Amino acid sequence: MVLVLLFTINCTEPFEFEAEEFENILVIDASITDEIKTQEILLSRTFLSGEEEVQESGANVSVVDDTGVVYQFQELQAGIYVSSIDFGAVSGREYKLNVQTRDGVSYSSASVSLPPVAEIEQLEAVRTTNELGIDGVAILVNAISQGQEAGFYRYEYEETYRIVSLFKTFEQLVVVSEDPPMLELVVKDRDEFFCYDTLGSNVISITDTQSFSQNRVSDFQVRFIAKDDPIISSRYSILVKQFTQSREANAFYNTLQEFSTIESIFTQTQPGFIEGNIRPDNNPEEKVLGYFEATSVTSKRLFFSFNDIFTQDDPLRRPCGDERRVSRFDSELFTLITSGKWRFLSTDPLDESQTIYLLVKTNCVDCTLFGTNIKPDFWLD
Amino acid sequence: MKLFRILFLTFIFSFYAKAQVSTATISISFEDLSRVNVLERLENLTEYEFYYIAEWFDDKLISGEYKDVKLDLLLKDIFEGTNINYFLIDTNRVILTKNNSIYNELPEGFFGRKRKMVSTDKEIRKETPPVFYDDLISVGRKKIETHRIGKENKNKIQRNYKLSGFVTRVDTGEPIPNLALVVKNQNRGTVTNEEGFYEIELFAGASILQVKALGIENMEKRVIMYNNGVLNMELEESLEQLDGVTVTAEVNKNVKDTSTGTEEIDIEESKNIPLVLGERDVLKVATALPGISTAGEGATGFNVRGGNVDQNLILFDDAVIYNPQHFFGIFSALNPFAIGALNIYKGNIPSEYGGRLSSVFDIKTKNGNTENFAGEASIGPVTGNLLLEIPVLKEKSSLLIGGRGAYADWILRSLDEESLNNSQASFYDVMASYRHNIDEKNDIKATAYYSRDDFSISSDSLYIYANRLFSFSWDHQFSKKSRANLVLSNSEYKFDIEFDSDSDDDFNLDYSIMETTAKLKMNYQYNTKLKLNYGLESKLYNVSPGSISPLGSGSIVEPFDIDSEKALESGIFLSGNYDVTEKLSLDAGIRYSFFAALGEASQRVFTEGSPRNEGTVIDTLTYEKNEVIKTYGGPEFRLGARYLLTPDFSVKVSYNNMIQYIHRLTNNTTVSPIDTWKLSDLNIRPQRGNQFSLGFYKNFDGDTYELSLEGYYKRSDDILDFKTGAQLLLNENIETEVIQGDGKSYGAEFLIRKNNGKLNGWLGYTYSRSFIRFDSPFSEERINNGEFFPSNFDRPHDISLVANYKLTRRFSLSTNFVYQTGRPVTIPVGSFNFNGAQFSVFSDRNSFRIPDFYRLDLGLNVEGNHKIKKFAHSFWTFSVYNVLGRNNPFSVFFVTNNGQVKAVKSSIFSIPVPAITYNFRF
Repeated sequence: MVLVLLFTINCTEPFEFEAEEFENILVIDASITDEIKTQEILLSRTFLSGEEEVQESGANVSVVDDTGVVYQFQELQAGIYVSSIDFGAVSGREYKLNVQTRDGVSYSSASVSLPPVAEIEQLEAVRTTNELGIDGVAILVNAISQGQEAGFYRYEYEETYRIVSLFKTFEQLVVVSEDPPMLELVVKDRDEFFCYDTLGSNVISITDTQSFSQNRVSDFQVRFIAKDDPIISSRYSILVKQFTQSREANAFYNTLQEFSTIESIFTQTQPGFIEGNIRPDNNPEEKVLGYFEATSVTSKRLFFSFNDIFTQDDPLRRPCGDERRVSRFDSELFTLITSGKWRFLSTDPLDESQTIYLLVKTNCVDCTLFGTNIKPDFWLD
Repeated sequence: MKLFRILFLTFIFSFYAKAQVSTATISISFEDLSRVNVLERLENLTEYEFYYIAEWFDDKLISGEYKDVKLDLLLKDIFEGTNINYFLIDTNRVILTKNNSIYNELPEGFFGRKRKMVSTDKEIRKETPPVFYDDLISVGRKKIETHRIGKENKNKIQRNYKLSGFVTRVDTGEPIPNLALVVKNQNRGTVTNEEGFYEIELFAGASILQVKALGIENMEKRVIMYNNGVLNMELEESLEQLDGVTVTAEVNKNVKDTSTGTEEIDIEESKNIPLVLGERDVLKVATALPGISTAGEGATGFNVRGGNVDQNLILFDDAVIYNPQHFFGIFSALNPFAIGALNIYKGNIPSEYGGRLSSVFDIKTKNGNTENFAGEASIGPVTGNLLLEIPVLKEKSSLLIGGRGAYADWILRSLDEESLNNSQASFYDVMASYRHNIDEKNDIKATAYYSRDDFSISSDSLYIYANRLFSFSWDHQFSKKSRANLVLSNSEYKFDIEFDSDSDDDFNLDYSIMETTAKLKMNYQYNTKLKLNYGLESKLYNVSPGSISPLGSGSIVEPFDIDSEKALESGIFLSGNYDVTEKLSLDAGIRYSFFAALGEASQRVFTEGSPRNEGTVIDTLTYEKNEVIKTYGGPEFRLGARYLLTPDFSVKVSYNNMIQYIHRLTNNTTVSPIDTWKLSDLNIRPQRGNQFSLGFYKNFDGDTYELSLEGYYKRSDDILDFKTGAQLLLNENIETEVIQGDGKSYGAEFLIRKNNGKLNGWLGYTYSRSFIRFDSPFSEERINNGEFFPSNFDRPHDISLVANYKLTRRFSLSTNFVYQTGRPVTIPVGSFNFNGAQFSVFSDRNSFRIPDFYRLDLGLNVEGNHKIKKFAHSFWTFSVYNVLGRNNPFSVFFVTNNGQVKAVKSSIFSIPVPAITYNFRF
């Protein structure tokens, strides 16, 4: 069995294939939430793997509720349709999506209603070891709903992390003259030590409380970050959004997830066309992908610093590379600085004449390569 | 057939003493052929049929060329230098005798001894031979006693008269029951009852009455009927040697059997075939035969002639075994040492079997040694294996105990490889079988079996599955011609998923299916030409389709049970094998099967003409305990015919239809051990199948080479599939996920086998296709636009070579080569963006094939010393699986990773796998 498992575990490799037939299908990614805001609906088309995504422009998009109120959507950018007025889905109402594409084909969704709200009770970061034995931090959600009915949940997150340059510098070399080449050491006019980057989630993260005695989500892991991932090396914040879904919407996401992951190499779910809740109005044979849902959303934010979690350890920092010692009179200095790859760190402390500069790679002193130096409004140090 | 010939032969000897040869002339030429082959040539060339035992002849090759010679001269030449005599009877039957051993060694007076005849009729008197008998017959005629029965009544001449009487043993005076009395050259006969009494209608005038039974001296009497009358007979025990009969009965068996599509795995021979990690596995050997394949290396189960994995009835000592494999089909769950025979029916399935569409794997444990304590053991890299044969009552009964376990798990854990620490796989199987030969007429056998697998791929879920079965079989012989077999069995398959991640959602999920069966089978050999099998079978299913319970005290998982399912499946069957002529044999069977789904249960009713979903439920019916929910049933025909073109060349046709009431639910591309079985109910219909097959079978060089070519065409209805993304575990409303469609498969199977000599083995080639179709007015219940598409295991070309070469008495080399077309897979027809990531869009199923599969395995077998007094006889196997290191893809996945779609292929054994196994026997 030793052998067997060694082989079975190390045996996936890239696979080349040629899609024999491409099918051009409309894709509708539409959800309206209970927040009163400009709601957004995305229309695109299927595309060949490796090629650019194709947006669906010029469509007529509207959402209508069971009292006959029509919420018209307008195309903001190619494929992105926003509601003309701010509105939020209301509990007890039924909503229906209507889409008419530029070529005149119309589609409509099944009626959907807003599932009951469930608050995120607790969001925490806990040090853990994942299935592959990797040490790291898990972001866990606990939520509870008043309703006794089973709850279906989908999570999205937005993570923001602080990037700290390896060296803090106060001065920099700037070009004062191209010809003759001249550099001048001036005081830095911007913060290049602390920066921030924000990333959205791109994984399907769903759970349900179907088999539980209570409609309670406990310790659901929305994110796992390995200890040596640089994004948690300083301070990290995550905003977790919890969307309450209908059973059908949850099943749609679940199937999508099953078809796009390897659970075990021995068992593969038979893939097929995933039908959502949107159908063409006239030609039943016409395919359409996607889902229209009304969801109630709640969110919670969490902050932690590396040593809050890993109290005994030092974070793994981005490697920086070697320093270079260059004389301020060396013509190479001008070339190195103007290349943008090297930056002034300091004068060589061992050099009494103070004519030798120490240069480091730009990424060691300028974090703006990785993010913005504008601290987000929500940020708490 | 051969049996009959031998009986006939010994019988005939009694009456002919001198060779007689017809006058027709023959032209033949042959070069370096054995005498047996020459005789076969003669049979093909002329009307003559030869009756002989092949063992009489040595392997000496002879040559000759003859033109327009008489048979007499030809045979004299052929048998020159041998002690073979020949006799011609009728006009075209030639009986060969080996002078010394048969005729001359019989005790003096064995033939033609005067028997005491008792007749109630005064008119009995000796008769002189009628003049119309030709010379040939008259030679032996003197040895036939003639009896005149009844007083002729000129006024009342009938066409038939009745003859009756008692048959007893001359030595003990006991009646002889079940003795066949057959009228020569007429299609009539009778059998004596328990008191030895018989009654038969005979034509007026002379008839030859033949008396036949094994163990009783064969005899002929001429009876001339003038009126109804009585003839009592006293018979002697015969000196028949049975050994010779059994051996010759096997000659050309494959050619002469009436049924198509049967395979017998030679357990002893199969031990040399190199297999993965040196594990002996008769089921793997079966997949090297035409028509039996798997979806891939890590696929559980077998696909027989384009049928689904759930369509195979796998019997272990008559009890159903649901999953006879360990670890995703990589290892067999059957102790290789314990198996005595494996017969596979994939074409004409005997009527005694039912309930599955594609095949029957009939696995029988071997009979333990009743004389001496014996055992067999093997040690391989993955498993250890032991079988003990323990005599209980000398020459009467013995106990077989076997155990087998994988011990590699601890090695796995002790490895430093981090990613392997959380994976584990272990399995074992144990069996015990007790056989007791109570007396000559009664045999009983009881078997118990248990197998269990534990595996986990991730650290928090453990999968466990287990087979358990018991069977009790009682064989009773009413008479030489009539026997009965009663089997009681109980089988269970269950699996359990333990999810334990130290959180409050830890659970235990259980599934189990149990069946209890009683089967009574009767065999009745009416005469040598007609054999009857009949009986009945009934089984009760109890299924727990799923239950979930919290694991650990902190779990908030709510216990939940899906209502259990219950059903009764019964069948009555009758089949007859009738030899119409020497050449034409018919096999006709019918099975009437009946299925009743039983309460207590609730069943949902859906709007007619709408897709089944939550919205179309119109009613929910509830049923009391044991109340019949729904019944299904129907006749199943099993028809076959064989025609011998020559004694070693036959053509066979067969037609079958079958009904299957139980379904394996899987929405995976290949089946897995945690697929559930579902009984037919109000909404799910049974699967039905039809198969036609036609085959040609030819043996060369005696039995050295067997050649066969079989073709089949199969249709099936109501096979199951599922809507995209169906969730099957713990689903109370499976019927809303199920779609039922039809299947079509056809193929041609070619097999050449060499049975003996230094080099033996077989080469098989199969061309086969398997298609399925799911059509419906509703798009959610339709696959591939409602058109036929290739099934997941449609692998058109399949070549298998199994060869074994004996280098010396101790060393032998073996090899195994497989080539198969890659299986169909579903690939994306594009990508799409959704929820911030890229996904694949799938449309038509199975529009692409993964690369072809091929694999070469080599093995070297070394037998231990052949010293007789040695304690144990040992046997080493060195094998390399996948010598070519071919990376055979098993599946392709389209994984969304970091928001991007990546296509990856997986394979199970991508490099050569060496293994050493040590076997010993004591």
